[in-house]
Amino acid sequence: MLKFSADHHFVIGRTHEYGGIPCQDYALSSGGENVAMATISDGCSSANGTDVGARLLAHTAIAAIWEHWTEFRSPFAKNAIERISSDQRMLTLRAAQSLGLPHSALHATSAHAYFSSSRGGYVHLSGDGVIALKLTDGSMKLTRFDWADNTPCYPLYALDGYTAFIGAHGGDLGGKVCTKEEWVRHPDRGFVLVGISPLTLREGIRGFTEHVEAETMERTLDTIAVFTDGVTQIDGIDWKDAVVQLLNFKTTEGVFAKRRLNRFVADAKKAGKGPLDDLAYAVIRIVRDDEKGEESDDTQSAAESGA
Amino acid sequence: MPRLIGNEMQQHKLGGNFTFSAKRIEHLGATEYTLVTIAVDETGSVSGFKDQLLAMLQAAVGSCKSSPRSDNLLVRVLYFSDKYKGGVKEIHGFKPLAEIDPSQYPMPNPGGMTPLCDAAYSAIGAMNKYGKELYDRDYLANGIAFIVTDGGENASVATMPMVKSELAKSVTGEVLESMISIVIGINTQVCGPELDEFTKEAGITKYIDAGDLSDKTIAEKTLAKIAQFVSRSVSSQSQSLGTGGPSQQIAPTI
Repeated sequence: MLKFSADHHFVIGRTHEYGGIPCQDYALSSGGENVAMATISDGCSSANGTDVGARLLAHTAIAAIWEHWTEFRSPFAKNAIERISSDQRMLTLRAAQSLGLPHSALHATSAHAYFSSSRGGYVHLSGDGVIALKLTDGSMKLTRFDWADNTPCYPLYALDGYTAFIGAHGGDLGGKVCTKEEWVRHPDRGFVLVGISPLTLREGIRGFTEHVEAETMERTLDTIAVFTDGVTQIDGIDWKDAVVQLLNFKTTEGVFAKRRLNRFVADAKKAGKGPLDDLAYAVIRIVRDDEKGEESDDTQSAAESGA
Repeated sequence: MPRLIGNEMQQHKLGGNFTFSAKRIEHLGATEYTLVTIAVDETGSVSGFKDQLLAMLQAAVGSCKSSPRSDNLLVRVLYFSDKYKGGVKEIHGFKPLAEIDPSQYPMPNPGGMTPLCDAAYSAIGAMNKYGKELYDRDYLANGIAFIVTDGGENASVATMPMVKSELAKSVTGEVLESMISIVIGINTQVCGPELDEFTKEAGITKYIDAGDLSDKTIAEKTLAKIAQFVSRSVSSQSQSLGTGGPSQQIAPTI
């Protein structure tokens, strides 16, 4: 019998902290007996109010997922991603209207994970960031998504049918403007590059989805995590090492992700400047009946593993 | 290796035969904690105001429950007297406030001489050790210890060098973000200068002279003030977590 626990955290990056700009990353999560959800959002740094926009997008993502779960009880039912994305847009617009926020304040990425204890689930990302899946044997799959000119697709670009966004990327839906970089980390072999794939504008607008079947989840999955692209901008620390360290939970009670991120940032600031950009992550853990609550220490670095 | 005592608490060893107990870390849900130790003199000389001492302890711990930071406090309570092996009796180990019922604290049964070094060593040593275990598991922690006594050191197993070593370790900031240790002297007509000297030699943060308790009414008022002082100091130290240093708001007097 498995259930879920979830946690999330976000920290302001050095650039914003010193520039007097609020943190524009946000994260939320919820995990229990039957269902778990996690979301992150990263506001566009060149638009005003996207700190609020990112928060709205995270809250409406969770609200939309709950709505879907209440009705369908499965992450794979009834075009879940499309419905949730559409509901998220509608809820976000409504909230922004009541606050008098311009649409530009809603320019933020959005990623969410939605899992059921009996069906498995998925992670879906619109924009840029990192998805990580950690297995019970300690291995990890890391996937990073980037966009040309640091111009990711925001869900709310759908309001004009992505017209302006398509134009900003040269007008060609078949143009290769995104990159998907996949790695696998083995506990004994370190990081192995699976591939770097260019993706079209059309594929990028659709977003990126990682599905996990129930059997895979039950047998081998330990942790699912989504990160904003701030994880790729930590002074002196490769993004893959950062992901590994941020998923190396020493204990798993309560606010386990907050503790890990707080310590990670404190250590990163001793060694360098720490996170240069805002950083948010949300984590879902698969909790099995025999779990004791204290993780084994997995501190093998990329250097040690020879990657 | 810590020993399990029930599902929630573990017993840990310090140097010599000293031990302490603490909540199993995997059951702690917050990001940060202030470790609080209150060590209360149970020697023969406190028999005249043992009721008020108990009331003080109960009020001090009870007041901490209304702190906005109460979920981030782990409290340990000791009685000390040389009638105990190792000089101290742990009333309870480090536990979240929500799990502590101060009304259950036993009435002090005064007797014996004053093992002040044992009390200090047990208090600070336990905070260092547990603090290190918290640190190793990503928790942020600081500490504050109160030793309430009416007598100078005359019966310890632990030595002054042992106490000094633990106190020096506690203030490096490498494990506990900060540590404040306070000796509160009561009925200090005779022992005041000795306690002041003890504080300085051991490296304890401060000595506070709470004054005379010879009269029952005065004793009640003074010990009530001590309870408030303890509660306020704990709150201040807890609020300073994350600032990199100890609270600067600890009052210089009761």
